[in-house]
Amino acid sequence: MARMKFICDAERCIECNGCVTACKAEHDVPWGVNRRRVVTLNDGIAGERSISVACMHCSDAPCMAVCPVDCFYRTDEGVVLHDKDVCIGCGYCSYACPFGAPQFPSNGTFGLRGKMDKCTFCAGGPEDNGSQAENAKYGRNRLAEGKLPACAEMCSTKALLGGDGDVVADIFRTRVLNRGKGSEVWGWGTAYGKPSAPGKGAAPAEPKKS
Amino acid sequence: MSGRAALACVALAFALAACGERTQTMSSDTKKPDVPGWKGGSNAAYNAPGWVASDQTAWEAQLRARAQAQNDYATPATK
Repeated sequence: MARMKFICDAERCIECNGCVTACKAEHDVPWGVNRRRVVTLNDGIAGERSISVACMHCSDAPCMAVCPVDCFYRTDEGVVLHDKDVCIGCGYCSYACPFGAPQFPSNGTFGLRGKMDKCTFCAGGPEDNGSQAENAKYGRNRLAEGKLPACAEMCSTKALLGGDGDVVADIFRTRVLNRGKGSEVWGWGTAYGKPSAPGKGAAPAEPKKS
Repeated sequence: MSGRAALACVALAFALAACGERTQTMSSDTKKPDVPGWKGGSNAAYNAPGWVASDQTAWEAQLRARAQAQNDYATPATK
């Protein structure tokens, strides 16, 4: 199996926050902690786009790299999880994460900043699968029930895709092709510009001589 | 002679002091092992139908098939 991944289709996301609500309800996430949230770019301007953001379960996760107590681990399916019994709530992972995934409860036993909480890809934690201890610390373990993350499965427009990286990438690619687009909407050309497009990674044009 | 012996004892005590220290290196040995998802949860009543816990191949096939529910362009047979 490939790595588990999320993809959010910005053309389909309607900023309904259904994914956020599904996550909150499924895992009984405390007030003030948002494992997932919807970010809108150019809000209020025609052509605005929204995407749903949570832990991206990075292949080379910076949170794992900076954690001073090494509480993170990666499952065989590529899901980045952490052990709350080891976490000291220092917040380094929060600074390292480019997506703002690590969250800290502000009203817990540990004072102003409790132990880190983040998206688990609905895969729980190191406790026994489906146990009460796992549920209390990390929420429900849907993967062990043969299900995919609640946020992706609840998405009404199917903007948020979650699952085996190869499968969700294939679904997204099919959609884009059906929209009449091609490889210009993903990959190297989109990120860094095509050689023929001036000012987007191409060599600067020679100044005109007068 | 006794002075030398005492000195040797002190040196030996210092030399062996480090042997009594507990390792402070973080390693994967100290981590709790996680049970893979394909082994299933504690309550099979919550399991999605179509696969058997402890069968990794069936679990992977189940997740792939379930992911196709997110595919609008899939044929009804594969949904």
